[in-house]
Amino acid sequence: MIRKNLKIAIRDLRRNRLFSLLGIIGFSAGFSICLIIGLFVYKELTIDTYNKNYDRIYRLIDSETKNANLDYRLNETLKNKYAAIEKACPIHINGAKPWTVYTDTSSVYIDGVIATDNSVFDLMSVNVVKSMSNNPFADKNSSIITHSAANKIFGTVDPIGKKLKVGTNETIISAVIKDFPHNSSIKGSILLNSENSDFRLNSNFANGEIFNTTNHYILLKENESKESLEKTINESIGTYYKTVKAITLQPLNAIYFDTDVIDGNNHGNYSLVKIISIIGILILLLSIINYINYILSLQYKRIKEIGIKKVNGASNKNIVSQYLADVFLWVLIAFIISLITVQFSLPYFNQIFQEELKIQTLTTSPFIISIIMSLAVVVLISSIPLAILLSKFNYQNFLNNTVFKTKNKFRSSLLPIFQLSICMLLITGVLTIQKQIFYAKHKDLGFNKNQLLYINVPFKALDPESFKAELLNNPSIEKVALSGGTLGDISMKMSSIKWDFDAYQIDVDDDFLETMQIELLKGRNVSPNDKKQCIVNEAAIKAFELKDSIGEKIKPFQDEFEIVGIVKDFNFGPIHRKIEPLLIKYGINRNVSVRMDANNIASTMQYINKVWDDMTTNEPLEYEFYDLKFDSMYKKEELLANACSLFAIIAIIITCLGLWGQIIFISTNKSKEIGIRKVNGATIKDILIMLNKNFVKWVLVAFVVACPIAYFAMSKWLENFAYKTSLNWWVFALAGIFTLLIAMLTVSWESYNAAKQNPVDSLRDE
Amino acid sequence: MIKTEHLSKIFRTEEVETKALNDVNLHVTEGEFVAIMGPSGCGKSSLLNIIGLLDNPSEGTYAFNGKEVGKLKESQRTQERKGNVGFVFQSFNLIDELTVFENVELPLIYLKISASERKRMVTEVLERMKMGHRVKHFPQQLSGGQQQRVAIARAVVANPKLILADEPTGNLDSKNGIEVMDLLTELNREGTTVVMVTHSDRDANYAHRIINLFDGKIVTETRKDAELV
Ligand SMILES: Nc1ncnc2c1ncn2[C@@H]1O[C@H](COP(=O)(O)OP(=O)(O)O)[C@@H](O)[C@H]1O
Ligand SMILES: [Mg+2]
Repeated sequence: MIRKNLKIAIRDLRRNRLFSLLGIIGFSAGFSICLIIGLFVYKELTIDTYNKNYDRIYRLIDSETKNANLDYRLNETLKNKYAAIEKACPIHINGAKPWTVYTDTSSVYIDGVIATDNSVFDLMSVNVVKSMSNNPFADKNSSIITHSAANKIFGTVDPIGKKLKVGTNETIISAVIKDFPHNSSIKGSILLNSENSDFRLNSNFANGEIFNTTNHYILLKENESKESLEKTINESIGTYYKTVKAITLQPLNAIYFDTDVIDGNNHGNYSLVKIISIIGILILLLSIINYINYILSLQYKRIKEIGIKKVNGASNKNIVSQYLADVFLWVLIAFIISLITVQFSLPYFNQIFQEELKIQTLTTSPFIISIIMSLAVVVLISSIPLAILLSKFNYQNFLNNTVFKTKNKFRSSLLPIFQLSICMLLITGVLTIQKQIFYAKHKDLGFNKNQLLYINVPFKALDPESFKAELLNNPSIEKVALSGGTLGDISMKMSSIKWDFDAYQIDVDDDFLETMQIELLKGRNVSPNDKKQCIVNEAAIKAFELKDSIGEKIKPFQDEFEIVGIVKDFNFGPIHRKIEPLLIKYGINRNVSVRMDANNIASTMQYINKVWDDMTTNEPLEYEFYDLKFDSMYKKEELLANACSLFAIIAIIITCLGLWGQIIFISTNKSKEIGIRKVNGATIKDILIMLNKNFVKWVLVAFVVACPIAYFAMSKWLENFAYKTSLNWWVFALAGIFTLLIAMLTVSWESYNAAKQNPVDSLRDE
Repeated sequence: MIKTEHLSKIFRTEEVETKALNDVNLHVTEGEFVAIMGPSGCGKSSLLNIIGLLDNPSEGTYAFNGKEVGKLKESQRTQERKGNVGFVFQSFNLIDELTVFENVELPLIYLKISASERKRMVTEVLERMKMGHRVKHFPQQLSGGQQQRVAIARAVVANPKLILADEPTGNLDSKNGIEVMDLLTELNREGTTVVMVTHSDRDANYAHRIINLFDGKIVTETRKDAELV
């Protein structure tokens, strides 16, 4: 008997070592992913809170138009007329395009130029590394650059006092600051002193005057209320400046997720954060339940041991404390493995998702509390069955190992169904997102984006018309068009209160339609003689409710235009948006589009470069291919797809480990039954069916559970798109089949081994 | 029905090599009742497993119903065994999760017999084993003797020609043991060949022939009918 027990114990230990290892790996993988997701979400939710007084900093936005670009002169008023305002600071971020900056000897591209003044150092926690004078902006022509921009432009040379031409603005560098932290919505490489009105970068036209605009940030005095300040400002602001009617004070840390306001700030995607959080929670649940199941399965084998201990006088307290110590140890080991995993994998995550997450953040209190809570949940939940068991203690049952039989069945099928559902959900998500990206990339844009090059000609860099003529000398260049604004970002809106929809306009030359390959449905192209004539798109016909369209007149501004042609709708704005009404007029402009021959792209590019260099001085060629430009509009979705795929893979791995654990558990426990069945004529196939049948059933149930949830979630997500792919049945079917395949692959090897075993071995009486 | 020549079985584990059977020549004709005796570890179960086509011999030949089966693959052995051999074990080997009825039904399921036919056959054999009132019970709700009767019911439900019993009374008291032996004798009288491993002289006396095994070798054979005659 002793020898037998010993033998069983050793055999169990061998089995359990793999078994426990699987449990720990699954839990650690899931838990580390959750920690990383936690770090990401935490970062997203604490943007701008690095500023010492972030909870007292607000930005003014126009209540009606949601515009944050307000009259620059407001700054004086805010500073002087309102007692509740401690500081007011103009910050205009021009982050949309890379800027060309010139030193005496070279030129480089730099991202993000900010027009602000010395008050920014009172308001924001910006660290000055080096400065010429007490004020970082020494005088009106001063600029300040960040540490990394200084490195990029000047290398090891001290930049202080150096000349720097930013676009057309000639400046002297008077200070170097630390880079803006990663969790800042305000980002830039170069600051220009906006006390100099030439450096303000932005202007507007209203009420017959041109004036500079900027974003106004204020620091509220301590103990003052935001609401009452808002009220005071709104009561009086109109008397100072007519251009602003009513404003809202937007808290600094609300800026990051507010994408309705047009500004140059760095923005996040709240729905992405939500999706990722949900995925994180699901993975956490998945791994916790998985782990609890492992712990319980291990304990299940010990029921007899508990029985024997009790027979020999152990108290419930002895048993429970022994058990808790055991579980606690396992959880601790798993947690330490998770930490090590995070430490090693974080750099890769940061690279893939362009983040700067730090493991140190885990030592902040929100993390410590949630980590302790999750681990405590694991320990506590996994002790509940033991507690129930002890309360119903009965020697007979314990020694015969017959407790748990029914309950175990329920628990052991609930878990895999839950896991498989999550797997399927994530797979459906990945498939749908990929499908949407594919759809969008291959959607007919209404113009031909292939072999089409865009060149931006800076103001006065060269004469666009002679440039165009020179380009056309190359036989590989088929067509060249000049336009104001370019497809993908036409921002010239026709604002008129008469319409309750947005309408846009673009100035083009007479080669535009042919170059872009836009289809003219009716009428004719615009020509140089057209001063009061225009072409509209189909969306405009609908929106303006025009009937006999050709020859009709519309009046978007002061001037009236006669419609001479109608073009088929084409995507001229961001592709997430519906195609809106567009008015196309004749005009020569500086945006050059080049239609090229598909065969000689490399040599054609060389030619374009040469022409550019010949016609400009010290000016880099700024170009972009339209197909890449439009494809890159799906960057956000691609990032989400990548994240989803990664999480799906991790969830699948955890699930596989869970299923594997299940099949090991089942085949160990059923080895006697398998033997008996084989003795009574069961073939290997019969046994395989018996063992795998449950897994197939679970996949089917999971499919039924996951489908409606996935359908709901994906329809919701697709609502973000004006043009969306359909949710086909095959996406769900594919996810189901794929999950079934994974499940079968995971369990088949182990169940085949179990089925192959000679019944003589499992039935041996000694 | 059973004819082995120079049969040996060698078990190899990492550390040791055990010769469980050594040059066994055994001949059992149809309708015989044979008891195999011998000390623990002498190879009785190993021999029974080979006879019952659960295992292959390492050397030698084995003809079952005139067909050489010593080198068959597992799937072929399963095919040969199905419906032809019934097993009874010392520890009953019933499946705890299945009812008495379902346990007895098992061999019929793998013979692909229809549900109604199965019901008829199982009910009949359970009646015969005096277990008809316990069809819905689970094995652990039964006494040892009852469990063994269910196991015998399962062994005979498909009307096999051969029943192999490995110490069928080893876990039973004498009253239950005698009952089991009576059942086996009755089955044998009806024409079923029985090969039984036992430690008990009382049980062995039910057999026509007693084979004594020692260290994997047949040392003596006693033919009881010869004595009787
Ligand atoms: N599967 C096996 N692996 C290794 N050794 C075995 C195996 N089965 C039996 N043996 C060994 O073979 C010998 C005979 O075993 P067995 O036939 O079970 O004896 P008996 O049934 O007469 O007690 C014993 O020494 C036993 O340890
Ligand atoms: Mg034996």
